[in-house]
Amino acid sequence: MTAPVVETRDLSKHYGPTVGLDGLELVVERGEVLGFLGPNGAGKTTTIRLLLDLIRPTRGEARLFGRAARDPDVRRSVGYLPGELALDGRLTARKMLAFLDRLRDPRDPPADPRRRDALCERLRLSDADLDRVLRDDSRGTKQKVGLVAAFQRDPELLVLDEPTEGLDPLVREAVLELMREAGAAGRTVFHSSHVISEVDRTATRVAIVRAGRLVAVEEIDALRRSLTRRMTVRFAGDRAPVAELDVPGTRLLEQSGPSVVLAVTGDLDPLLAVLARHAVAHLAFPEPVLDDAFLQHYADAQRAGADPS
Amino acid sequence: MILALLGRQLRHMRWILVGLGLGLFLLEGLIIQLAKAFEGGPGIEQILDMLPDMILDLVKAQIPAFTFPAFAAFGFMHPGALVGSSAVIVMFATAPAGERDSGLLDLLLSRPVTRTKHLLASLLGIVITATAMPLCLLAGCATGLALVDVPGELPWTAYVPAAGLLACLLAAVGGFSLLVGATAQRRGTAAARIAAVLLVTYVVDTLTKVFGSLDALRWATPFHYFDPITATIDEGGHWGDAAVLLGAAVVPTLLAFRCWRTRDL
Repeated sequence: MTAPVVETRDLSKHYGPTVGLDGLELVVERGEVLGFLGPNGAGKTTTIRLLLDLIRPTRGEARLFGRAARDPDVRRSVGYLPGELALDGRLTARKMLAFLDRLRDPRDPPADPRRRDALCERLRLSDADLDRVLRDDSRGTKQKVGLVAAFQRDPELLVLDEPTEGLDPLVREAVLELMREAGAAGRTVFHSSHVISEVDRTATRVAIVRAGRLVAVEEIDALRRSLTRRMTVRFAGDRAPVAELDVPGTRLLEQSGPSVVLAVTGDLDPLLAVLARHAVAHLAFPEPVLDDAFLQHYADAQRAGADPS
Repeated sequence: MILALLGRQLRHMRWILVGLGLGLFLLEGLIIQLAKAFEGGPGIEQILDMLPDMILDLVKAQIPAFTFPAFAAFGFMHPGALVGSSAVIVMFATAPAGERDSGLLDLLLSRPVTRTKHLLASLLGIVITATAMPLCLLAGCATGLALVDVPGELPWTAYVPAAGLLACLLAAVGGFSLLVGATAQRRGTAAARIAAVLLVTYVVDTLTKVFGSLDALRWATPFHYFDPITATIDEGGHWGDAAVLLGAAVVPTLLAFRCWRTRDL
């Protein structure tokens, strides 16, 4: 049995009295695209910096590919894009990419130049962009260079901290596509973001952190299923059959004549059975999005945090 | 891997290194020409006699003997040479702090680069500077001596101990700078601290030579162990000083590596 690509046990980081991360227990298996969600200051970047051994844990441990994160060998298979990307402004993008590639282990072959060229093309990095010194480049161009640097060696694990920051919509799409492809090709992607809609489109699982603590880790589909969703129904008659709508998993939120707004959780069958017995003029039941899950979990966690018991 | 890191630093510093090396070469050649002029002219003693006592004490603190070899060796302790070489060394030593400052360090250390190898690149830059700059002075000395004909002049090899002592002093500056750079949060802060300490220790050394009452402070400044003129004139009298300076280079260097390996970056 192969070891998880990322594994943390009681991983904690305190900065004096401030808690950066507290008791993180997380396992990411090979081929997963994990969305690591949380607002700024929740502990996402602290987690990533602990995984890459840039900072040392106060308690607990982080393991990559079954080995301690401190082992530099584990980083042979890691491609990383920092949230606050800094590149050497005195180098051209082309030289920067070549320099970063030279920092590989001597046992590893150099990055495939065809792959690099293909990445540049997909991310719309022109030759002119590549041959300009980085200090003259825009934020978006630097971000693209950082993305090429992360992907160019086709690493087993991609750790991407806010990868679409500063990119235009077309390139953003290309980045999300690259992440999906990496996951499909068996690579593991650790996608840290506060842009929930993007994680929704790439991740197979999400982990939600708040104030340094893990609030939830769930499959995206399961998370969607567990959500309380709003359904708006307008019946064909004068009044809605309110009494009949009192079925398991359904709660009446509003009623106005033939129209009702319902909160629905879990299995839809009982409610659909009721609706099937009546003439329905209009029904709106929007697809659940991760934002709802995030906000719901966040609200739950906040309530739990406020509750002294 | 180390070569890639070092190569990047050297590429950024190449014009400074070349300019400084050339400047030191010319400086030493010029000092030898001046020394010859004094030797053949009315004599430095007559000029010095005109100086106020206080100034004369300061000059004598730097140049204990007014002979041609002593003047020729002065280039190895010329403030310009010391400041220029130290500045380049501080730039190498604080480069990791600068990378941490800018955020580039995160990207570099996300590769299979150990922290030791990363700092080693800076140490190699320091070693190159501490070796190359005294060699440039020595080359200027050899060239200058070949162009002048002074009775009683020493061969250029007699100045090798002076160059060696300068290399040891620069290594000590490098070791201390590396330690400050490895522990600092910001590059600017590190450079300012290093400059302040070097300036204070240099002034203390000069004052202890002028004021006997401050003699007890001498041991605390690396410049006390750096006397290229005596090392040139008195054969074999410089090994102890070189050993102290090398010790002052090695100990903080080891501490710097220990700190860099264990700290949060």
